[in-house]
Amino acid sequence: MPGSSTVTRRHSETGDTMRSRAIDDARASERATAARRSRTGTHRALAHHAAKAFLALWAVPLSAAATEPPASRQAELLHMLRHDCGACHGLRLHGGLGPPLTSVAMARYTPEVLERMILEGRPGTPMPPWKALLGPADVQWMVRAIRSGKAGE
Amino acid sequence: MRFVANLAGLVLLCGCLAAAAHPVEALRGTGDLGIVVERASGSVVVVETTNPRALGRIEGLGDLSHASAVYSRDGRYAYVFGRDGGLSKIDLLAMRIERRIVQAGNSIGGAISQDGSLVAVSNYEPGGVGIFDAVTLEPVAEIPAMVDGGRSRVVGLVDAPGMRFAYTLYDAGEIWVAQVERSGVAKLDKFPGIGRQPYDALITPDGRYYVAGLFGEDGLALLDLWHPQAGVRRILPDYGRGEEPLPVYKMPHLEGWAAAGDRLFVPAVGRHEVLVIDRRTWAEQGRVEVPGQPIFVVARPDGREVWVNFALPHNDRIVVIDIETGAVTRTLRPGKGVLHMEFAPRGEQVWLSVRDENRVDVYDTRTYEKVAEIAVEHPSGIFFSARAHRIGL
Repeated sequence: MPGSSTVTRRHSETGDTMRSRAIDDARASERATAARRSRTGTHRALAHHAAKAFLALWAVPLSAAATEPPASRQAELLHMLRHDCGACHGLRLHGGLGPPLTSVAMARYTPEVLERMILEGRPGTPMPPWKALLGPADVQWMVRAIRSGKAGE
Repeated sequence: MRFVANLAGLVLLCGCLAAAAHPVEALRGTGDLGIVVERASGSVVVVETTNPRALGRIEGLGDLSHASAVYSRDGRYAYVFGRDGGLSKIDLLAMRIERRIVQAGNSIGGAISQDGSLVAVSNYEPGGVGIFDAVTLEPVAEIPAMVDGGRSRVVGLVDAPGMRFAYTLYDAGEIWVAQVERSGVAKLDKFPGIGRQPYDALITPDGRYYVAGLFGEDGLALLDLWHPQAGVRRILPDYGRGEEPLPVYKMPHLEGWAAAGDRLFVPAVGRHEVLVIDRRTWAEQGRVEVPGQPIFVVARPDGREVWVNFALPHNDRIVVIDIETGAVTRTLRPGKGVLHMEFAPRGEQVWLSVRDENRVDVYDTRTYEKVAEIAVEHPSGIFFSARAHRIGL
């Protein structure tokens, strides 16, 4: 059913003010997104499923620390992070349809959880499992790049 | 007195000669120009289709991942929508930024109104739509996408006839239609409950049907803008049901719905197929098997063929579907990272962004031979000025 809502007029601001506000907004958005997700029943249900999936995955031990990928592969992985992961998470990993992958945003997850998210995907969200394209060593390197902030620079 | 008149005439004559002495190339139209987005360096390359070449580069446009553009109706200016909320109005002739604002924290494209007076931007953060004066980029209105106390990210923003903007709320699963005028928003219609996670939307080339693709469940949501009071209906409800979806390494795009005759071609989600829809009944008419997750499914301007590109790991190729037989007739392999395709206005050429090769390739659509290569740094979207005169682009 069509409805109506009020429309507010926007303040005029200079580019620089808005730019710095944008960075603050991006950080606030991570918190807001998390808060919004937990507000609605659907999101609660999804979070529940995701949590169950992760608990199940934790039962599977990670393989022994993989060797560091060669330099050429590291370059490919960094390119992939920025351009392919960046398709959803933003080229500078500040988020988009997918959440921000900045070191600040990702600090709340352990490396093991992040590795599982990448390899297995996140059920109920558009995040796909990447295990068909990425090996354990690739993913461990990517997670280090994300957590150190190297990927977003 | 007569001498003065003669002198004046002479001065006028000199003036004419001086004008004629200017290089003719200083005066030109923009109908054969376009831009290619250089996503990593925050710049665009201005290109010409008549003699396929780059004319120059405009820098300083911010984060251009997933950037798109629309055109002023005179075809001189492109409005470039950046990921970082940047809205840049660039002058294709002077080859410079005319105006630029950062209007939000995170954005995903925009549209220009039917009369060309307003530019609307689709924002993720803060979720909603910002509307700006197309000449000055001064803010005109903001429509927060507020549903149940939370703001939703907005996708699939297009212009529609009747001075309307139609768009979709990703988090809330709603379609909103705003009727605008130069002073602001006159009317806002909301259509809730369209389905889960609508990831993108498009409008048919005639501006009548607005369709949102759903990621979270099967089917697509259809709104007839001739009869919006009839509400949104689900089409292709059985598509994909009960089947295990394949990983989607990149969300398909619904920009430029491929309409060919009575049939519409759209990318399937989680299946390596292009769906064929009968436009009279909105029923599925068939599926074309393709080698990967389709991203863009675009009809050649004459409607005889549909060209398709793909997500990882099949993003090195293009396939061509013959719409009469529904068969894949060609596979081209331009190189790694074929991100976008844009046809010349009447379709004799197609331009392809080959991101990882730092190249745009130009193919002849009759011979399928490459006729030109243009060096562009990490090219993504290609937008020709002919979009200025097409609904929904």
